[in-house]
Amino acid sequence: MAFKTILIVEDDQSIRSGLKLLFEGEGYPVLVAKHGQEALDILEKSSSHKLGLILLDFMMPVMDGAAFLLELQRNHPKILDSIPIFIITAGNDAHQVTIKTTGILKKPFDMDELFRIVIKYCGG
Amino acid sequence: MNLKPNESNFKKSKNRDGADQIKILLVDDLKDNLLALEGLLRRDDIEIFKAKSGTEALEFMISHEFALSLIDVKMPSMSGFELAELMRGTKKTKNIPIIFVTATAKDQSFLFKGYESGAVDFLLKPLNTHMVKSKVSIFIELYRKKKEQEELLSRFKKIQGELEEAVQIRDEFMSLASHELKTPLTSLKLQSQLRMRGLRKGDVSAFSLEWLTKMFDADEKQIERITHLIDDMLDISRISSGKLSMKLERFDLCELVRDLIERSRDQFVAAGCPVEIECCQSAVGIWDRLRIEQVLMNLLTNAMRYGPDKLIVVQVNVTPARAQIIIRDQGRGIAEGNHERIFQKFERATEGSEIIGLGLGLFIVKKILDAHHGSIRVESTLGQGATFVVDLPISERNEDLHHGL
Repeated sequence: MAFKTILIVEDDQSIRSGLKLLFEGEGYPVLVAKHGQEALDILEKSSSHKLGLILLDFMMPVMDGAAFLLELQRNHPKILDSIPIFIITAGNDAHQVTIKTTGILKKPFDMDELFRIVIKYCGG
Repeated sequence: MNLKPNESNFKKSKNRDGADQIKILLVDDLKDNLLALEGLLRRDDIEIFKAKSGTEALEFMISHEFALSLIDVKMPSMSGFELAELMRGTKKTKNIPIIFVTATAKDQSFLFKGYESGAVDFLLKPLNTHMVKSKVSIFIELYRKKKEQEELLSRFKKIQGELEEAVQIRDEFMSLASHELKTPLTSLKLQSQLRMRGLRKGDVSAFSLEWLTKMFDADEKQIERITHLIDDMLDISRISSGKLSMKLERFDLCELVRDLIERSRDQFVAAGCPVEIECCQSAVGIWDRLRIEQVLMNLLTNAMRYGPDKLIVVQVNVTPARAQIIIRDQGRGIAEGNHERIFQKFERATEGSEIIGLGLGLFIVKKILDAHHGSIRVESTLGQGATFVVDLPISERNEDLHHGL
């Protein structure tokens, strides 16, 4: 069974590429976006049914995590409903979001937890 | 044209020591009585006002703050009691303590409903000098205490406001700082996890020399990022507590600039920035060498960060009294509206995804230069590079700077 794709939305280059390498090393297809707007562009272009999980950083330039979620709610409610979204954040700001996400992952990540989530939603 | 009333004479009087005088109002329809009382009460710390009627008394009360009023009960047109009733009516007058001066003891049973200060007393005629003086002294003392309390309370409220603001700034700072620290930590943790997984799989071929070198370089960068953040945080904490210590020594700014640029050659090469130095012969003065180096490095790093692959020009000029360092880049520049803002806490000119840090660099730079009695300003137009001009006084004596911060 083919693994589902992980979309990483993260402005920090080293974390973005670190996560990408980590997941790709385990055989998962990975898409990356530097901020919310890039993530929206990717979602609009690609078919979302192969997407298993979105990891969403919170503090980002151009379009931050909260704005991205609002945008999804407004224009892509189906994606918001069907794809699990985990907020990945180093701060305590994620609780302010009113839009319900699947969960919050705190940085630095607990790797076991990270992989439990990836396996649960993307297979493996 | 001078229409201003002489307020200082009118509103607030000072005695010979410069202390504020306390105002007392005497109300009596007989001039002789007023003069006699005045003679009795005359003190250096008291200013005495004399009113010959209730109406005149009320007029005084509107424009002055009285610690005490001595009111004759028996007056034509408006009695002392009637005046007291009127005083109850306005906020400004209802708290002025009253001592009634009366000839009959039965006046003392007069009931003052609602006279809020509760400070009502009586003096019986013929007046006993000692009694008058001691009663008045008590009221004056009360007034002083009340003033002191008000003063303390307002100072306390001001400090409370400042503390609340400081706590709020600290909370914001802590949240920002922890976020910034966790980002490189997360990256390091990911990298170590990657290696661990590679090792577990026994995939040693992945650990080529080239790959390893690259990885350790990346680690080094993240560690450096953390170190810088911690240094910045410590500086900020020193600056806010006024403990940015200065180690002053005599050195040549030109030498420092040349030396620093030589030492940082690798960084300039990596950023693709050629550097041109235009130094005067020498610019010797007394400054904190490490702090000035920190200022220069910060400005040079900004120049590289915001203008990669572009020329950076560093200039040192000197006059007998001042030294000037100019750092000119050809980067993205700073819009005029931001020229002041970039020197404040947590600010940066752009919101680029590649820009990291707390936005404290230029704030620290400015504080360091403040401590040297120097200054910094930027000349720039958006898209056309930026020129930072640092100005430092050439101080001959160490003491001049010791109380910089």
